[in-house]
Amino acid sequence: MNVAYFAGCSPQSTTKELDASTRRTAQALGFQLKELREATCCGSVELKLNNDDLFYSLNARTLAMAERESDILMTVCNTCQLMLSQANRRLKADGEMRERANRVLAGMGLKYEGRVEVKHYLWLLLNDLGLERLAERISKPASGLKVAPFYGCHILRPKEALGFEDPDEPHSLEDLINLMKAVPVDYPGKIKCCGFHNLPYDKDLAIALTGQYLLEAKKAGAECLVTPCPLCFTMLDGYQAEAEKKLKTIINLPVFHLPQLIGLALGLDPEALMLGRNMVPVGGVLSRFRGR
Amino acid sequence: MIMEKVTAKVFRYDPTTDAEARYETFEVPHEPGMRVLDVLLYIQENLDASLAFRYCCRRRRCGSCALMLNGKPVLACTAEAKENMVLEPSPNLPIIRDLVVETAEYEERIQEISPFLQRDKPPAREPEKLFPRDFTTVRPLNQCIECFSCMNACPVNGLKWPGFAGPTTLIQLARRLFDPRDGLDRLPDAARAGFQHCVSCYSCVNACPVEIGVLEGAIENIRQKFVAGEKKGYAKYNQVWKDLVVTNGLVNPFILMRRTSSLGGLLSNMAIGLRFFSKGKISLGSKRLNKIDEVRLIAKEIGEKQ
Repeated sequence: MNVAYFAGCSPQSTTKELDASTRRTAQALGFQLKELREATCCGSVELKLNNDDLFYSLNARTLAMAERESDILMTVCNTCQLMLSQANRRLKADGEMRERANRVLAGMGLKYEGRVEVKHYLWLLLNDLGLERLAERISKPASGLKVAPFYGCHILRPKEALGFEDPDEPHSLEDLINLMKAVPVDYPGKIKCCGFHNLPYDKDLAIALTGQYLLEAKKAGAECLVTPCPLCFTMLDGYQAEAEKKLKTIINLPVFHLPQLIGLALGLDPEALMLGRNMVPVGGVLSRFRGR
Repeated sequence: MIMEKVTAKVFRYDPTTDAEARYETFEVPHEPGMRVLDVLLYIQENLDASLAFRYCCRRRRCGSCALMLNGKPVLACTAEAKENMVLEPSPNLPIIRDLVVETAEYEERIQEISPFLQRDKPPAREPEKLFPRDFTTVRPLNQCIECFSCMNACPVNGLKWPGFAGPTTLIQLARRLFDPRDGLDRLPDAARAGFQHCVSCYSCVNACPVEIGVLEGAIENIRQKFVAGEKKGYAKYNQVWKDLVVTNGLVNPFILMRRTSSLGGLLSNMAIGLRFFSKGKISLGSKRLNKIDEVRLIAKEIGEKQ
């Protein structure tokens, strides 16, 4: 299946391991990724606030580039997913805005037609590939491994822009965890906000939020976490040491990007999944992925 | 499958007599279309008259029956009764009894932002001529019923974060800030109410029973106004983000931090920065798109300074 692949800023800088593990797992599962190398940043909350016209026009360019490759634009970041979904929705509905964007895009040989659907990799795995086909490919299940899902916000809310699953009772990550014979861990923080977007100007708040959820997951018996978002990953993994310092406790919970965890269950080489770049060492749980 | 009964596990606590809170479970015959409020009324009328809860209008207008259903903020009058329910009072507030909480703290927060129209000049004529187009931002915000469901859902409010007055307060502030008749400079109040602590998680939007779009309708509009009028702090961060997108196409988090942090901020991030660097997570140089000219053209065409 051909899909246009939007990597976004984080997987091209701080979380290159997400980009690498996405490519490896997608290849193993039969997706042909058509990378949008010339796509800009999705703009995030910041550009939308600063200049929403620029925000929509730049995303119209990205969506138009995707339309040339596939009818699916795949994201691997919650915020990119939300921003591109919101832009797609608005551009489809607002003829005036669409025309304005297309006037500029015409000079680049591009045209936004609203033909592409923006889908997170998690959704593609569940809906387009399907649990049954994915289950057939799992060669190294992690029997009994207690995995805490961390959804993050922008893959769940707002429902009208995303709408993949119930934002209050999601189960897509649990479905995948169950598929690899691991045990999903339930805790209240799994659908809450990691605080990443406030990190630059309110670091203590971001760390307080992340620390709260890490502790909840730990107390619920988690041996590791998995998240579909590189921004949540940066908080949960990268800032875990800061959270420990703030909370004056040892948490030591390995955190996986979604495709890293899937990749291990598919039997892919841990080095190819760039697990060595994760800040909290994951070595302790690798041995739990065993061949059938 | 026809539901014959619902089971409600209800939070019970009377601070004047109980040493600690407990949960009591009630079974209530189910009726089609039954709401949580119907369950509570059935319990009070048939099983335990001492159960305390608030309600008034029964039609999503007064906001007084807000509570938590299975951990989610809802209005008892509109939330559908489920087979298994845990009913708890709104969190983060003192309990008066059972499901009744003391909301004075939230009401005081609203009072602090002068939640009334403050004109700097009288209307040019009476009756005053008002145009609907001038009230497109304010009109949906006027639907707020002050049930505090958004406060109950907000993770930052849940931490009782200092300096954050919470989403309901920001809605009330935005109602006045975007009212063309209001003459008060409300941006200092917005900063004091801590709009910058909002984490943009949409929990408030998800919880609002009258669907007023708290984040985009109130908080992001306040932010936008602030970004346009300021050049430092929060506003500077937004400006640098935009500059990086227009200059390179992508945002390098390290460059962003370097350009927006004070010396003290950079020093306080030194330890974590080194850890990120040791894992190869920091690129010192900026990656630039090959077709950056296209991005600049778009910025130019819509009147942006590059």
